[in-house]
Amino acid sequence: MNTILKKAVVVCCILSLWLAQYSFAQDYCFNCNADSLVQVLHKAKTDDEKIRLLTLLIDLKVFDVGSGESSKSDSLVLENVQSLIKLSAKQKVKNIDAYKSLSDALQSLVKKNYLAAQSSFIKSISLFDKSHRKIPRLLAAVRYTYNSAGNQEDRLRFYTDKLHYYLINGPFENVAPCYHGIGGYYLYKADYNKAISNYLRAAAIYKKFDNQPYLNDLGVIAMNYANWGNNEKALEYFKLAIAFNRIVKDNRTWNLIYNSLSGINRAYKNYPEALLYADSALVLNNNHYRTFMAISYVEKALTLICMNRLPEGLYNLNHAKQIADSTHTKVYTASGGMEIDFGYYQYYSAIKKYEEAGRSLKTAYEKAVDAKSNELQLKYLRELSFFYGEQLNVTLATEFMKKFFDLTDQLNLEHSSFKVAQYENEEKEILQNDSINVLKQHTAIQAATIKKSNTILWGSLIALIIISVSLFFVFRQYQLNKKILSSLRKTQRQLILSEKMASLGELTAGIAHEIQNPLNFVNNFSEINTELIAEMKLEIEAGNLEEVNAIASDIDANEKKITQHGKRADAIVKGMLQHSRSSTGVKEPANINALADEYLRLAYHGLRAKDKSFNATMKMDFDEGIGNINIIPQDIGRVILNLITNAFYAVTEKKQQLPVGYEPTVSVSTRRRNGKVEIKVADNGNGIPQKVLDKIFQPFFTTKPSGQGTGLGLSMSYEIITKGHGGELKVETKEGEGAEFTIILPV
Amino acid sequence: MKILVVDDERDIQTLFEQRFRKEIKDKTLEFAFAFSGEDALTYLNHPEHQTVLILSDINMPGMSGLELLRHIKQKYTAPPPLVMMITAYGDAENFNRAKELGADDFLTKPVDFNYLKEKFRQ
Repeated sequence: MNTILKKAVVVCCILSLWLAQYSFAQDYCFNCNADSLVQVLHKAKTDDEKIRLLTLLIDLKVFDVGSGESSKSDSLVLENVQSLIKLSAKQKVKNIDAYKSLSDALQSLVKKNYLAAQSSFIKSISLFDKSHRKIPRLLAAVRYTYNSAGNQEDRLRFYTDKLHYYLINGPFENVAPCYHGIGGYYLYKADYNKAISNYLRAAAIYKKFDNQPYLNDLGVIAMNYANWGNNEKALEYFKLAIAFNRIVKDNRTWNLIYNSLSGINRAYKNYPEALLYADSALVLNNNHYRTFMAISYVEKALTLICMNRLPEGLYNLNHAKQIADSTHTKVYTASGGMEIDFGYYQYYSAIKKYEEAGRSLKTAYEKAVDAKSNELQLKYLRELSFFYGEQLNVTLATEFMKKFFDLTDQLNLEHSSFKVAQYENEEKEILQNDSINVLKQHTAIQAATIKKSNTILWGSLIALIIISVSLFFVFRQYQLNKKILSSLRKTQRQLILSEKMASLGELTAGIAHEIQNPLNFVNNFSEINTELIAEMKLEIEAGNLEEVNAIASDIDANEKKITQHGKRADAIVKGMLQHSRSSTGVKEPANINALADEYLRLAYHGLRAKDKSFNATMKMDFDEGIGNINIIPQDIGRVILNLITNAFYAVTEKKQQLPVGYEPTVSVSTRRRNGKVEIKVADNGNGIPQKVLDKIFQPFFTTKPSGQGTGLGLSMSYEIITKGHGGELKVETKEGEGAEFTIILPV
Repeated sequence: MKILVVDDERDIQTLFEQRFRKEIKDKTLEFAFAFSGEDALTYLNHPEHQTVLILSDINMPGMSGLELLRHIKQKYTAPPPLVMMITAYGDAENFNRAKELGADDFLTKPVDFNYLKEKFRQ
């Protein structure tokens, strides 16, 4: 069951990490459980995953390094950093140089070379800063090296510089450890006011992103209030810390809280509870944090001495001393004061061994001086002054009193009468300011909203105007286009009409000639018949019946000629009318050969009418088996006329270039082939140049001099054949040899 | 007197035969007909055509009357037959061109047969 649960937890962790990987652009997980990360890391398969998990783990675990609590934990972080460096050999790892410096720092820590560790840490931090990485826990870890190396002024300088840097450049998360580090400096200076103020600032920032340091700060604040003598405030923060620790469950902070609570209860002479808290701390510690353990033993001992349980007190003091000596812990630690010698002083005082008591208290003071803990120095100096006063040793009492005041002056402490950290007052102000700011913000937002609304209003208005204006122009353009379009249509109609008129013009001359001939016949035969009838009358009178019969036959034949030529003229006139009329679009059976023949003649005579010198050989080759096919006769006639006219035009042109030795020839042929009817109109003119070949069917394209052609002939022909009859109009040409147009009509 | 009439209109033959019925009967006039310039030349190439007058239309498909005129006047130097040109288009250009080529007379359609008879008589 347990293993199943563990597996479930691991799966959940992997899932959440996997989700986190896709949910967040930045790879930070300050509130992750380090143990879960380690488990996931063991199962990581890809290098990328390993690098990511190692980075996260180092972010978290670096918090405790150098605290002296656990060298095992320190070496684990070093291992992680070194695996990351190893991985960087085959895979790119961001900030690898920073990690290398971090590795140097951690190695220096193992050798207890704190100054070297410090400089490597600082180098690592400045390298991380180049990529603006969030490294709050690394920044926090550096403070231990200042405690261990004892260069507290450097600590203030470092954290102040970094604070200013991060406040300007970010990331904001890095600001919190700087405040914490500065707070530690003021604690060392026994300036509780400034110390607690800075811790409060750090806590306020940590609260937003990293629970463990936040909790730690709450504990530290409570402890310092207690040390400062404001137990109420201390309890307030302890309550906060306890409430919050139920969520975070950080054993280290529990130790801090329980040890502090033990001290506070002792101060209130609530000894059983003080004892309980010290014991609770020890149970919870479970041999994990040795410094805390030593402190707990001291707390327990001090309480026992107050309870007059002196041998037990001594036992616990000795135990604490054993641990402290083995870990080289100083009298003052980040986890709180390690007041073993003060304990001995109290023990010896209780058993009235004043010499040993005085010696122990002096040792305690000297150790405090050595640890540069002003807080403890002040406490011990005051105690020494009181002690020697009671011993009636005025000289020593005065001496220590003087030292106490000197130190007080030197530290230039600003003792707040209420012992409430400046920050808390500031915080109230901040809160007030915040509410003012909120109000201001609301006003600003309202103003902005109004402004925005106005902007939107104006914007809308402008947009409306623009749209209206555009619409107006569009409308104008539309009207203009409509006008242009209608005038274009008019022009188009005129052009089509003029094309019709042009072909009509070509026709008229031909028609005139064509009508003239039959009319001449009609007139002539009619005249002859009049003569013949007169002759016949004479012959009847003469009784020459044979002659009468012959004349009658002639009259009859002539009458037939008259009718024939009358009909011929009639057909021509009808054709002419048909041509000028717009197409009826009605297909009817028509003889394509007759049509071709008729229009060939019309075209020929039309040209002759215009150009008297014109002449050309006309070859006709009609397939008599075609019969009638369904076409729109006037349309097809127009096409044939067009093609023949063009052919005549082409040969005339060439004849003008070559007056001698060139026989202009236009041939028209019809064929029935593959169920289709082909009408070919060929000439032996100059042919169509390749560059204009693909343009000849385009409307308004013409090679004729301006005014001579509308450029619509072939385009209209093309339309008539393809759209009107579903046929094809093809052209084949060889430059200098002529052109051949083929109309292919489906039957 | 043998006259060759050249015209692409076939009915011209009937017309002439009717119009000059009497003359044909009297054998004062003899007519031959050709329906194109080419036909006319073929006929004239015959050594015993005995044609003294040629009446030719100008506007014909293929060889035109004017070309026929040119051929006749160039080939038959001694003694060339008289050539009378007939055209539907009584324009100066055709007239001048015909004269240049050596046409002996120039008539405009419709042909006035009485005038033609007068000419033949001359």
